Amino acid sequence: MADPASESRDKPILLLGIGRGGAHIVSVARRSCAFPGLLAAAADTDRTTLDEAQVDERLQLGEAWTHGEGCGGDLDLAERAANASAEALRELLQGARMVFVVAGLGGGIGSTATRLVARLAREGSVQAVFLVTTPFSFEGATRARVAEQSEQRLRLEAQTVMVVPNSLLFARLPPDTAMPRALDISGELLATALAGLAHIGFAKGLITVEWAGVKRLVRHPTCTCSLALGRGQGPEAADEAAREFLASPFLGDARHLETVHAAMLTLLGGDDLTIGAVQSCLGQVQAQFPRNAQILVGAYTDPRMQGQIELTGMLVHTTLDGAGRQPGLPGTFPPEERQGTRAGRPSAAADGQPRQAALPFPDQQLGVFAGSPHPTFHDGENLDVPTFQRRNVPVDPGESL
Amino acid sequence: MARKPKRHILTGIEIGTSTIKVVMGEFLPDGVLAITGVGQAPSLHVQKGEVLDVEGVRDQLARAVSAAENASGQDIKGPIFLAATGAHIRSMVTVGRTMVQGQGHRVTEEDVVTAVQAARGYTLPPDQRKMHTWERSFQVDAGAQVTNALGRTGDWLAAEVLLVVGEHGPLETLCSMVQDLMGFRARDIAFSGVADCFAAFGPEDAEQGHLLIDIGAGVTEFVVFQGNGCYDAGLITIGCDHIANDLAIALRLPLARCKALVRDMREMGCSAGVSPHGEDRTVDIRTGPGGGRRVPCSSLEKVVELRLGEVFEIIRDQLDRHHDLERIGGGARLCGGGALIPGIDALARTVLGMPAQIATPRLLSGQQDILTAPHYMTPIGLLRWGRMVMDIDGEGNPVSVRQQVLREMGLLTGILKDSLRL
Repeated sequence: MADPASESRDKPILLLGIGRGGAHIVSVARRSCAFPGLLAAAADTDRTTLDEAQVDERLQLGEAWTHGEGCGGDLDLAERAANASAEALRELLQGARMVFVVAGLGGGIGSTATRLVARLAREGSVQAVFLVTTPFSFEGATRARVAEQSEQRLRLEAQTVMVVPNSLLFARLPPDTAMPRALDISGELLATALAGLAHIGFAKGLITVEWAGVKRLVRHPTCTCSLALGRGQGPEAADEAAREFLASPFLGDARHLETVHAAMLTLLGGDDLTIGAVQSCLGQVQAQFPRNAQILVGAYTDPRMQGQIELTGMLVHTTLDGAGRQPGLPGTFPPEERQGTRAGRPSAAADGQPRQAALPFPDQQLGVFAGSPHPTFHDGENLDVPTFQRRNVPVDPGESL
Repeated sequence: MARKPKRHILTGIEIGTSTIKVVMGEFLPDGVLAITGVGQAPSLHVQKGEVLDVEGVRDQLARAVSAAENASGQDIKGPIFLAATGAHIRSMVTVGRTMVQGQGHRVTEEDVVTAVQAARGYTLPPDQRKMHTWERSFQVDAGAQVTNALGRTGDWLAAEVLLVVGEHGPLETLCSMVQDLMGFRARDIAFSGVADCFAAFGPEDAEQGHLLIDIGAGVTEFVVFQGNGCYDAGLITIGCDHIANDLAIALRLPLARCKALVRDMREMGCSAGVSPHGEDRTVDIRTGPGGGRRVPCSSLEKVVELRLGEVFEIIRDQLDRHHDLERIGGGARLCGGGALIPGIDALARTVLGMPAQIATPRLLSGQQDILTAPHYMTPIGLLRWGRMVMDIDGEGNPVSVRQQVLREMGLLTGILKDSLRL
């Protein structure tokens, strides 16, 4: 059944999964919620991943560099491979009205190609939303570091980045949950969240959310997102959806919910969606949030959802520095902080103790030119700093002999 | 300036950021420059082309001079020409105008001299001095810009002159070092980039228009050689030391080892442009007994490519801003120590968008390794430039620099020669 809103626009909405993790999630998203006007695509260096992915378009990255094999976490190789296929990616992006990019950070291609896609999308003026996961804590410090770095770099290129820490899964799931099941849940949740986000693009809206609003929620450099999903059916659909939503495994523990700074809730129902159901469902969920959390609410209808209610939420947590301020630009304070902190009083961290703010460690080095009497400046840039550092290009330092 | 009898052997000295080079040579009757002696010594305490420790540099200079004297079998007695570079040197364009009042409003040589003098009369701050002046172009009334305005008809003549100026202090430091060591002053001092042009280009190159880029250890100079000589000149205080420093930071190696790495890139099979499968090839870089790193070639290449690419980008942007790019028909020539990095010509071609090749000195005889060495261009060019300076001084004749350049480059033929009445 075609959605009239999507018919009016000719270009499809693109779901692009990058790397093995991204391709898996996009496959699940396509299986579970295939909208018309939705184009699912997967891009990876590994041919096996692409063969397994159930998507409409497959993009093999950097054939010449990897010969159809994975990058094995090699960031340099991944970057080369991604750059080699930049033209194909650009073409893919140009054919879309909007693109949702899903990737797991911490590996090779997911960590590097996302940044390239962000740049290409920006150059082509294609709206791009990034949904990226960070590794499980047991995957080791190296992957976590890589993920953190690539997240920072991605934020330089992209405006809408939603970071979902995989480790949040374990906060709610019972320890005896089977590992494949846990990963399935993770994939399914991300896929549904993705579909929920995609609704903003083309579902028929009762209460609409603007992309600018979503962008504003996630623009802070330290924010992470957690996802929740609730479904209900029948006369008690609204209550059921709210209950399931609050028990969602990706939500983190209960304390996590109390520290939400902002949230985007998307409610999807059939044509028979009543105002009472909307009120009841959203009311129950919002009651759990801090009073001053910033909340965006969207309600959409889809004829296929007759008698059902699906509530998707993206909850934004912002890490504050020790002084209770968000590092970064003024004007990015979350509402809670802005309202809760009185001027002239030293603010305190979560545990009530005042803390010395951490000083930022400079990540640019001058080496032998430190203290040089004639620093080389050009267009306000200190050219004595290595070019690769100024341009944020990672260089593999090799290993000690 | 005191008249000195013409010497046959000239000496060029370049106090570079990494090496002090001394070249002795004499001109054969057919214009070929025969190199009689070459000496070099590593320079210490020179950063970005400027001397930080005079005594230390003087000692090294003494070594280089005695090496050259030993090689040539004779002492340096003749005129010495020095090359200077560094952040204190800059170029500017000034314009001078005059009314054309002669018979029939035809531009005469006097008009040209008056207009050029007006342009050269630009007052500099007291701590600066002119190193070179080049007549870039002339314009009669609102007509097209031409390299020679003689014989044209009009009311006004405008001359555009390129001035290369430097700070008095650093230039005087170089001269006094030579005086301390040799007992007499250096005859004159030239901007390195200008000296390079004299070594690399002949008259046909001036017609086409060429870009010369000298990538030294501390400074990269660039000169547009077109029309009457140097059309534009500039420098960036970035050089191979920056590449070494970048590598030291990226690969966590000592700086001295990285300087050697930049020199040895060819032996290691690395180039200035990133190549496929660079990750698979690794190089073992030893830093001493039991120490070192195994580094993928790609890391090295990436750092070098980013740095050199950026230098070329800055040069291209500056030339573009000055509308110089359309004047460069012949492409770029690269010299200096950086030109020894393999693949740098390909990188320059890509970034600058013009043909690029490694420069070699023209009309030269001497040791085989000097004949093709891009990093000896500056001291060799100093000798050619020095001959031109001596010709001007020797004749005591106020002929323009342009005429001297044309003579130096053998351009004076036919109508041009007649028009200059030489």
